[in-house]
Amino acid sequence: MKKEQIEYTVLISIGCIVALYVCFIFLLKPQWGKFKKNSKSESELTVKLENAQRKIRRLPALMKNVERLQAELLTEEKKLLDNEFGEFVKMVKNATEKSGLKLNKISPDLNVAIPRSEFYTEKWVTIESKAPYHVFGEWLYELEKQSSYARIVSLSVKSQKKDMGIHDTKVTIGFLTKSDSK
Amino acid sequence: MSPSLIQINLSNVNKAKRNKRPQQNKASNMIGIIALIIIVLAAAFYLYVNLKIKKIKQLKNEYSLIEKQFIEANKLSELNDKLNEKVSTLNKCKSRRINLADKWLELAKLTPENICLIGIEIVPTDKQANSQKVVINARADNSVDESAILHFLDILERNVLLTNSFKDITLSAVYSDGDEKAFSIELLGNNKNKKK
Repeated sequence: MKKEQIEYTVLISIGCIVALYVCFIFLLKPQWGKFKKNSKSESELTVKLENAQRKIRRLPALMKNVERLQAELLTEEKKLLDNEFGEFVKMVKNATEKSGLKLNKISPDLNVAIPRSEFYTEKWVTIESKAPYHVFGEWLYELEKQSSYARIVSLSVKSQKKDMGIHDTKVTIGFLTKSDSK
Repeated sequence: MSPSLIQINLSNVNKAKRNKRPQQNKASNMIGIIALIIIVLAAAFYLYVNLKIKKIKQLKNEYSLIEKQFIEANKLSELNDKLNEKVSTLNKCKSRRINLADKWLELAKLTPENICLIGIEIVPTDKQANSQKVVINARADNSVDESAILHFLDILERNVLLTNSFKDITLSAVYSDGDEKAFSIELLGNNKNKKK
């Protein structure tokens, strides 16, 4: 009788082990794989979804801002010159005609191209002239009026006793232009 | 009629066997219970993972519904950054400008009659001319008291048009030039403008 019971217990144990093994192979193992694969992606997906929802909520405000910036840039970029020496000369001459200044020499500083950002570059042009103080001031006024992106980089006006009020002037103007690639 | 006999086994062996049986079954019952618990736990885990997968599928579906809008928002955000950078560069370039013309004409008005401007220079203080200084060279008759020079400096320092653009206006040199006194005044660019 004792032997029977031992056999019975062994049989039940083997049955349980087989059941557990089958359970492990067909249930637990594939599920564990899925669990491992998905446990990370759930939190990642939640963050991704929240991020996307947040960005989408801000979309109308963003669109408004982009429209405003585009309009502002459209107006401002009209004031920029094309990246050509002829354009600079045209601008300088316009100011000259209005002020009555006599130009001696306009020369581009070919070595100077200062990148102000990815999109814009500053080019320099040196202008030499002879002019009375007020005429030169008038010319500066006309030049600065034409574009808010033309600025005086350096300037030298010297008065000598013999010059009869007509002074030698040398001025370097920096013009902001769009970068070639943009 | 034979009387029915009640068979009562009074043997101690049978009694002992009856008492031992539950104890002997205990071990196999325990194994069965443990196995059952493990199976139940495994089933719970199976359900949990399935629920999780279902939730992930739901999240994926939700994401796919808004994905197009999200891509559009990203593109718009990049465009916004690019436009912002452009506008900020343009504003910086504008703020770097001295706007000399109005100051040039103002300077002529501010100069007293006993002082004569002999030179004006704008000198960049760095290679890219991000900031500049203005040097005004002038002369006065030797008869003119030095206080006249200081008075001229004071006039410049009090002028709003100049002080808006130049943080520092200083007398940098005074020297004799034959019969005349020569002097230099330096105007340094305003930091506020540079930071814009």
